[in-house]
Amino acid sequence: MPPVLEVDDIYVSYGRIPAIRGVSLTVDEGEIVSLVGPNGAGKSTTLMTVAGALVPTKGAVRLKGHPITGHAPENIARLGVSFVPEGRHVFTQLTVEENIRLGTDMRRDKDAIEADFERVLSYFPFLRERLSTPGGKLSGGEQQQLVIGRALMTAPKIILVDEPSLGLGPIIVDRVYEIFHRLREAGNTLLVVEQSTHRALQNADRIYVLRSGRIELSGSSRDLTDEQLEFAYFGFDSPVGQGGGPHP
Amino acid sequence: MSRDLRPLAVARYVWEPGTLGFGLLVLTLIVSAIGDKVIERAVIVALFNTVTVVGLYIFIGNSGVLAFGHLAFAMIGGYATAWFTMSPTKKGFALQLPTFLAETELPMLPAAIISALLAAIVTFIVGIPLMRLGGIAASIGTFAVLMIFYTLYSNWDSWTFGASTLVGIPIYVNLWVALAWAAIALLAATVYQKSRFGLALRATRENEVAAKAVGINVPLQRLIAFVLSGFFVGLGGVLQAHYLGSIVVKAFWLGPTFIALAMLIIGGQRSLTGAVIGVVLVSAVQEVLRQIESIIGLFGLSQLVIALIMLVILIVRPNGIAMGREIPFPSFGSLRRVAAPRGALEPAAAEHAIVPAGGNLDERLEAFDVTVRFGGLAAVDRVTLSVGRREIVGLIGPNGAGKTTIVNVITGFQKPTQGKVVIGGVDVTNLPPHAIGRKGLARTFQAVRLYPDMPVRENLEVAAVGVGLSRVAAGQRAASILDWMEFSHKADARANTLPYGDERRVGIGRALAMAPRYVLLDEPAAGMSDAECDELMRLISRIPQRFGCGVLLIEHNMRVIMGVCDRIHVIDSGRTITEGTPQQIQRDPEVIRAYLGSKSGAAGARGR
Amino acid sequence: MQAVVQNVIDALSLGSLFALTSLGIGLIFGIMRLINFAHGDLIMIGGYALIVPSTAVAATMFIGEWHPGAAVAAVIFIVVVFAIACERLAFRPLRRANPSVLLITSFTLSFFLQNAVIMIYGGRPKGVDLWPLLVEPFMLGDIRLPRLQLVLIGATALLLLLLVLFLRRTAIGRQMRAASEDFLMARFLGVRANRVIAAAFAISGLLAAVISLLFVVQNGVLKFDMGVPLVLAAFVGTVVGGMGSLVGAVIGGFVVGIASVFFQVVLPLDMRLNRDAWVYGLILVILLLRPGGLVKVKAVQERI
Repeated sequence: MPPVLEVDDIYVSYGRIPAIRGVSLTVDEGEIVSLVGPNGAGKSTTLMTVAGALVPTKGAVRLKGHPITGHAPENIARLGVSFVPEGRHVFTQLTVEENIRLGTDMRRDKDAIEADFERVLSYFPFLRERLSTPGGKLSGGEQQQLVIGRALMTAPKIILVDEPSLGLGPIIVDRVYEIFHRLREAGNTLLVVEQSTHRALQNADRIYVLRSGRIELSGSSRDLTDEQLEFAYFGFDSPVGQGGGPHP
Repeated sequence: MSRDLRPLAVARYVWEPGTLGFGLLVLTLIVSAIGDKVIERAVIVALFNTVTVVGLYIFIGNSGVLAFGHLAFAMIGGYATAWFTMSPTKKGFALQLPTFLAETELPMLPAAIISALLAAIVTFIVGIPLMRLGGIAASIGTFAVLMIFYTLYSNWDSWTFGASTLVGIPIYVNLWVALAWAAIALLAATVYQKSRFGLALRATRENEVAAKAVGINVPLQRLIAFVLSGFFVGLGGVLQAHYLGSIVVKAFWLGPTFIALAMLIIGGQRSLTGAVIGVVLVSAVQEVLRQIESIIGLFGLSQLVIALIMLVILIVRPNGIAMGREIPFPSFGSLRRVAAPRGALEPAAAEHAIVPAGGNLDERLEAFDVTVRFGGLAAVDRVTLSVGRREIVGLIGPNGAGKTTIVNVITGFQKPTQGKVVIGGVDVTNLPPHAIGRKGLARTFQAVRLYPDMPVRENLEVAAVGVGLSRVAAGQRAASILDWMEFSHKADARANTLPYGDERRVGIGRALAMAPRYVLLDEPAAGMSDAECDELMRLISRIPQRFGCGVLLIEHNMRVIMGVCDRIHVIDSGRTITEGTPQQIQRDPEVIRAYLGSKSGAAGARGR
Repeated sequence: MQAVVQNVIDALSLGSLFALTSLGIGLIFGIMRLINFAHGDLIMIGGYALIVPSTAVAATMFIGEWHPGAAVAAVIFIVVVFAIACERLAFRPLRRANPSVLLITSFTLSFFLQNAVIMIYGGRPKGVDLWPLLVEPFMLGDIRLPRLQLVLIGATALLLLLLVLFLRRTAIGRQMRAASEDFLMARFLGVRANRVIAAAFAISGLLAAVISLLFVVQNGVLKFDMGVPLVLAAFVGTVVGGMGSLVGAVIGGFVVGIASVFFQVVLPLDMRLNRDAWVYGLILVILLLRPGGLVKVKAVQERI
């Protein structure tokens, strides 16, 4: 069976600025995969490319074996890729319920939609009382939870999340990750961009480390050590992590 | 360079107006030889339209701001010349002017110049508020200007004869008069375009943010071009009045506005050549179609076709037929170097060339206690940092740490809620970005932001002009910095043709061309390969000593940071967490934690 | 009393006209940053659809003679088709262009449509007598009330209500609101860009059609540039209200209408003809004091 998502040696530039050069990764059904790396490494670019906002100059993206490279974002969404970009992007003028239901406009399975709606409210109970509040009135943490809930409503085959912990307090971050685990238990597949290698080690099944537009290291989070990760992340031997892993 | 190349340099300088003017001259000669009245009429109209469209080009072409209101200035010029030149009797029939005007009858040339000046004065007055607006708001503002003057002149019966046609204006514009004015307009546009003002304005068109950062006052530069453009458009109105012998407000409303803009845009609004091509082409198409119209009785056809051509151009070739290029100067083998601008021709007695910035080498760039709150949330919380003129200081921190905000505060793009920024003892906290540039702080951008359609040399010259150098001195300084960077061989390449790594280096060269005392490099290594990074590190590490210029380096590439910095300042969640030498920072567990997250929780939860 | 009532009704009806026009422009601006100068020409096309195409001096009624219900439906249909065609042929190829290019494109399109009408119908104004009963005033007690202006105000209120319901209660309306706030995010959730934009043009066409009918009844004359004054006033309205805000567009339209009537009443007689200059002067003042307009649209802080 082909992986849910397969990114095959893609190259992407912003105008003439190369952002990623030759990134390959796969995500299998029911996995949480983390993509970590410093700023500017190309993590967001990778997700944006999968979601169709950027078009690679080379390489291919496949969803369950079918190429989706260069498709329009809305069509990729309709094929089952749900994307939560960095910075949340709540529609501030729409109510919470409208935000949540926006992702269902393309679906025709009425009963399943209502079931999903209830499921989202069960994950994020605070949303129930706020259904008619404008999205802009929620706090940052609430907005982060809202967009994750919203992303679930498209009946996705895979959910891409870009830096869910950015700008959030540790308690909220823990809650967000707890939801990710519940989602995985329910059979969902996730690809999460994260800056903290430690959080990735705690939560992901597998990890890819991205630096300067290339995959520097990948492996199961059971097998990787902090030292290996630090080396791949910074690109030099940190004296703190002396005795780190081999040069990739 | 030897003295006998000077005539060639002059030839180079007047090349565009010379060739274009020669083209128009040939056209005029042919027409006067044929002697067909209809064709002659069309060519005269095209020639005075050249004056109007070149006027439009001076502003729209160089600034990139679309303006819809210029025919108001043509109207002002046209009516003014009627007031000054009509015979008192004729004026008496239609107008009730104040006595001094009613009895005045000026000669044609002074009247033309005074009328165009009047248009320029009005342009200046409306330009003061308008040029402070940017982009689409400015365009809508120019619509409002057209509406205001159109309404006023339509109802100002005693001065304009209302919306009716005012007749009896002396007729003197013929082929040769129109040609002479067209040539003058072309020459004026060239002189402006090649001056430091034209250069600075084109930089704002290419990248407004980067232009501000090199010290260019955008509203002022736009205003200069706007007024000059108002003068020539006003002159176009004067010539039209003295060709037709009559004037009517309707001739300056939206239809004619559209035709004038169509001429500029179809030809290509980014070059003088484009403006002239557009006038000639649109005039010819209009003339031919008008003949067809009157034969088959299908009115509206000519305008319809012009609109259609314009739509097609906008969709398939938005920079018009000329695509922003001028007629190329012929290259005579080894003499090709003459194609360089004036500055490079001066003997190398270049005191403006590469000099370390003046002032005291011991002063510092300091940010004291800077706090920025966005709606209660502190993005930056009491950060203090300083850079000397002989050191390289790194500023690092994970995503969302507040580096962006600090950069924006130091460069004047963001006002701090609290705290201040001081350069060499002078408080610059509340200065706009272009003024901070002039105080000795230069910067590069994460997104590079070169002026894409300008040569490398001009990219550097803009920065030198921005801090007040003449065009000649700027040329010298640009040349010597490019020489220092070992980049002279690409001085004439357009910035948008450079490979990416070179683009970054030109960005740094541009910042140095301001002769700054401090330079802020914003992620210069982003997107670079390891080999390119080595090259970059060599360049950065030579800056303080060569230029007397301190470096503040924001960068994620730790190899670069650790490789070149004397000191490193680390922030996280808006606060300073530590500061020290690269060795100290590498050993600091706080730093590793800020980037990689807390390790304590990791062991227990592993493999969950 | 009569004068006061008349002035209030004048202000409200002129404001309604401008508000509906501003709304048609604002809807499209919000979604694709296009200031549609050609919106006025959609209004003009709706008017010309009423008569038989011919360059003859006198107009012969065509759709205008039909049963009013059928005529309204036909005019709406024609204008909506034109609006969608404009998007498809002129604006879609330029969807990635900057707002200035879009503005000059719509200006060009406007000129194109006007000259097409000149070719087909001739350039001279044509008198048309549409639904003359609507123009008859009626008496309420001692006060004479203009029927048409009240119909205009009523129609505007109704359209605004329907539009609010459409935007709030339907899926496509919800998608349009989402798209005007953050188009890319909406697309990440499966919202189809082409469909939302086509819907915006269709609605702006519908608004234009209604305006053209009321405008023709009021003025009794067709001219190829009849939409221009409306669209210029609506420009002022959208800018005054705040570009990108629909509520702002409606408020701005009313402000311009009311200000026009206000200047008409307070200016001394010899300056009254220059009323529009005052109104357009207002736009410059507001642009300077509050470049974002009366209703602010959220801005995103970016690194520069």
